[in-house]
Amino acid sequence: MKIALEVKNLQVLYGEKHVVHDINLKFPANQITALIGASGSGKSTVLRSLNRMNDDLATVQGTIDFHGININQPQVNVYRVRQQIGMVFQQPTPFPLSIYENVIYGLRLAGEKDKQVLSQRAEESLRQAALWDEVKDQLNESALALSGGQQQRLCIARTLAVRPEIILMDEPTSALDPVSTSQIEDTLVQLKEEFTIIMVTHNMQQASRAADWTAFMHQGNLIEFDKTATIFMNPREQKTADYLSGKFG
Amino acid sequence: MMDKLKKQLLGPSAESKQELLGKLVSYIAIIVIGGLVGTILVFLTIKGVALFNNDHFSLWQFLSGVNWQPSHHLYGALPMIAASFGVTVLAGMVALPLALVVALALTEMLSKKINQFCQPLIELLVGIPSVVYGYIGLTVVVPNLRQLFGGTGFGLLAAACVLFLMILPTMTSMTIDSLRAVPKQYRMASTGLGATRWQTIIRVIIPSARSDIFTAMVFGMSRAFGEALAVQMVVGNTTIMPKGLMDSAATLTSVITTGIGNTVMGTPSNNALWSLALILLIMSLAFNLLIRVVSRKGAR
Repeated sequence: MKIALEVKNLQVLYGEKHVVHDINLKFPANQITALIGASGSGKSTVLRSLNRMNDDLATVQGTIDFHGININQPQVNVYRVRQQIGMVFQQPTPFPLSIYENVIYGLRLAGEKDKQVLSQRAEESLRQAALWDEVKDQLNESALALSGGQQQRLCIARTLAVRPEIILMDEPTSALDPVSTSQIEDTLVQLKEEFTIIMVTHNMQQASRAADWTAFMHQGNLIEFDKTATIFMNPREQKTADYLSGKFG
Repeated sequence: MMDKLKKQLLGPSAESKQELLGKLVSYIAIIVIGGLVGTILVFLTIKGVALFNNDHFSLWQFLSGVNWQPSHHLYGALPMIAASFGVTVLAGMVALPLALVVALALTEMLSKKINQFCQPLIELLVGIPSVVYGYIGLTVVVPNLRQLFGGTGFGLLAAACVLFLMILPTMTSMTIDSLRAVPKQYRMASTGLGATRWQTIIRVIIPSARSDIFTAMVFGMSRAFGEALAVQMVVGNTTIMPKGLMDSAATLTSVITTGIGNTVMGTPSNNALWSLALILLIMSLAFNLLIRVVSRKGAR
């Protein structure tokens, strides 16, 4: 099995507060891995550390191995890292620009000027995010007029347009209604052909529906990591079983 | 029993009376404010057009004439109009980029601690009376200009400098507020797509705060346009057409403040000052209208 990203001895501190303790994880390539756990378990913190989004907020120690390079060291160009490891947030956050300009935002940042490339990428990414058919006639209209679910798919398209290898998603559907949620889950399953997806979710059904692998975290520790089916049907740890059956969380 | 309930549900009560009283007070306040504004408008308009109606001075000559000699019945207001616009635009043009840079530094770059120290300081500067700025103009700006460029030091440039100092805190403070109003998620999302802080500022933050930043600029400039005292202290107060920045001049406001006490009500020279005041009022309204139009556009 190919590994897209490997985390070794990851520790995260907010000031004096130790929020993530010594985590080791291998994220398989072209698979969806879900990080589950109660609020405050550190799952979002781990996710944000993976593309250095915690730089200004916390101290992250340990190794994050991406193609043999430790991207958690000072001399790494974080902007290029984030082009390789993109991120989609909980709240849909289209910029107050047109739909088209939103999709190609990351490409413009990277300096792409060729109009043909830009419009081709925009279409490709919108198709991949299953939004093309809905917006193809209004590409120049404001992205803020879209519905919440459409906005989130636009944000996914915006991340895809940069052609990252890995996409991090921080509870990508928690602000959406059930219909939009299931559309996005379907989209994710399609996307794993080309991308590696790592997502944090509060929603255990979502993990069991969409994820191939699931990591369960509790109070800053990784309790268990396995195939989703194994975690849900036959967990090794009592804590995992307790969480999945709703005894806490 | 039924009667009691009926009375309870249909009759007035302490709460409903309170509500009525509150409404009454609000309506009275609105009527008073509306009345005040209406009275000022009517009064200024009547006084302002007297020069043209009663004294038969032509409006065109008033707006385009360059000679302001009340003793010779000459009321050309163009030098004052030009000086007012000149100092305002000059001060605004220099203050805007500076205000933007300071606001960006405080909101986007510097640490919270520096921020917590600087923002109250800027807000304090907003509240300083204009006579203090005028005094700084007299004691610091004018002598320095005299040393640098020669002449008296009094003039357009001195007035522009003082106005710049005066409106910079206002514009900075308003720009800070407008940048703060940009959702945090925009910054996160932009960073997540590989943007540097600079790229985020240029491509997302400034465009989303654009209309508010523009409002801050217009607001600052309208304050500069209407300022009388600080300008009067350093502008030189000569009602001739200025030819250069170091030339002594007079603005609409400074002519009114110097002249209004020295003229007799109802005489043409007094009426002419009211006409200047009317121009000032119309310009202020125009500034306000511009702010409204811009902020409505931004809200869409």
